[in-house]
Amino acid sequence: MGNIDFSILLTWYKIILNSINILLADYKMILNGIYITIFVSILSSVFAFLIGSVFVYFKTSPNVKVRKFSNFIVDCIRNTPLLILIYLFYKGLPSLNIVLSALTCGVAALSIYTGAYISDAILSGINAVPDEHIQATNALGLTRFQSFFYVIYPQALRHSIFILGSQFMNLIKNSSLVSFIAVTDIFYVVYKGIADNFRIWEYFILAVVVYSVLTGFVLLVTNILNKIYKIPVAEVNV
Amino acid sequence: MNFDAVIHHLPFLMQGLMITLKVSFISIILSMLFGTTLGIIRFVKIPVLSKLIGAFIDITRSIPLILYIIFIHFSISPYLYHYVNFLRYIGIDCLEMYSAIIAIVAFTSAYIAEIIRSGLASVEKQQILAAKALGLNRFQVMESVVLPQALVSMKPALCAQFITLIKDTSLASAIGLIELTRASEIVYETSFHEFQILVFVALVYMSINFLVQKIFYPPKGLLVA
Repeated sequence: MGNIDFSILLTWYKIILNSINILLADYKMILNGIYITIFVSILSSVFAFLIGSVFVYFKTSPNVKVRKFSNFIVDCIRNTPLLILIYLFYKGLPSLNIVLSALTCGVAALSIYTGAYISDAILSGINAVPDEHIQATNALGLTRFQSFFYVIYPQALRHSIFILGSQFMNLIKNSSLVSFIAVTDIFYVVYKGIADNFRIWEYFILAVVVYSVLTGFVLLVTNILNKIYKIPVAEVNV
Repeated sequence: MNFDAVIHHLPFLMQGLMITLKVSFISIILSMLFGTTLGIIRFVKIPVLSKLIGAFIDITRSIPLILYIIFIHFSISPYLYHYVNFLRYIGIDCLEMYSAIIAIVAFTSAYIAEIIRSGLASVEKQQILAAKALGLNRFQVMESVVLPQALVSMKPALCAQFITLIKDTSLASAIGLIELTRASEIVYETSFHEFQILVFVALVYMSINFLVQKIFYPPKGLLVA
């Protein structure tokens, strides 16, 4: 007893301090990366939501050919890797004389990719809307667009809050792929730190914290929205 | 628009496709194994182990796969590759493929574990009670009563996860594994026919994934029971 060696504690303290110093030295890039990740995520979630809504309007069309064609398009988008979609926008379009900036390409590819998933999420909500409501809109003489936009769509959104939330979380995670076309988001900074400076653990933990906080925030919002807007399931009394 | 560049470089692209298929196939089998184990352990609630696995699953599900691949490639897999290379026996003899498979398996297992857990939870309680009343032990209940019923209800989710896995193998190009995406990059960086080659590669991925969909959801004539 008596002489316990505390120097190991001191070593750990030094290592942790050193790691924090390394991250602090890079704080401008890191803050800028977080800002760009949030910017790309918000912009593409808005566009993805719009694209998904348009897709789902055509997927529930009474015309069989339109329905089949839009289903096929959505399946094609879902079955292509996001990386290939991003490359198609960024490297493929210039050979057709359409040159877009890297950020635009990333946002466009992310929105189209997530829009396909969101259309399926909303479709599952539409399946939960009772048939009587649709028949009632027909009886009232509403057009197809009116019945979709005023009756079916709002209810479908309220039925599919959680699925939509998980798609937005996927979008935040997928937004790391825009760093492949040199958009300096948080993953770009982390990749530079890991691959160039070999500061693996520091930057990995940083990225885990950032992405967990962002997805956790979306989860929180989803839970609150679910509490306010969820349609209670009617209990069947026989 | 001519597709001569694609035809000229087809052998190289096909080599890349073979590696994509190899990585996907091995990863699907391994992640199914690990994912089912993790899901069952989380479902039956073993005191400490279930909590640990829950933490692993939650952290893994909240970070992007590409981060996982980079992290494992630079930190863990160089050591594992030298000391405990258990994948050597099935012909994995390059570090990039090794790290890609480990990262994809670890990542997808977390998702599959959640699918398995929710599938197991959807089986009715009476079934388990009836099986226990018949004198089956805990393992037999799981293996011959609960799992077969749960597998039916989680088939669509598993199919979607496998398709995601096949798409995610394209991310292994970040660590320099020459699979289909990296092969196409190498080709169009020298031949400058980006659009044609990328469209071709997208079509290849699409056809693989449509095939997987068809295997899971056979046309109605073939469907039995």
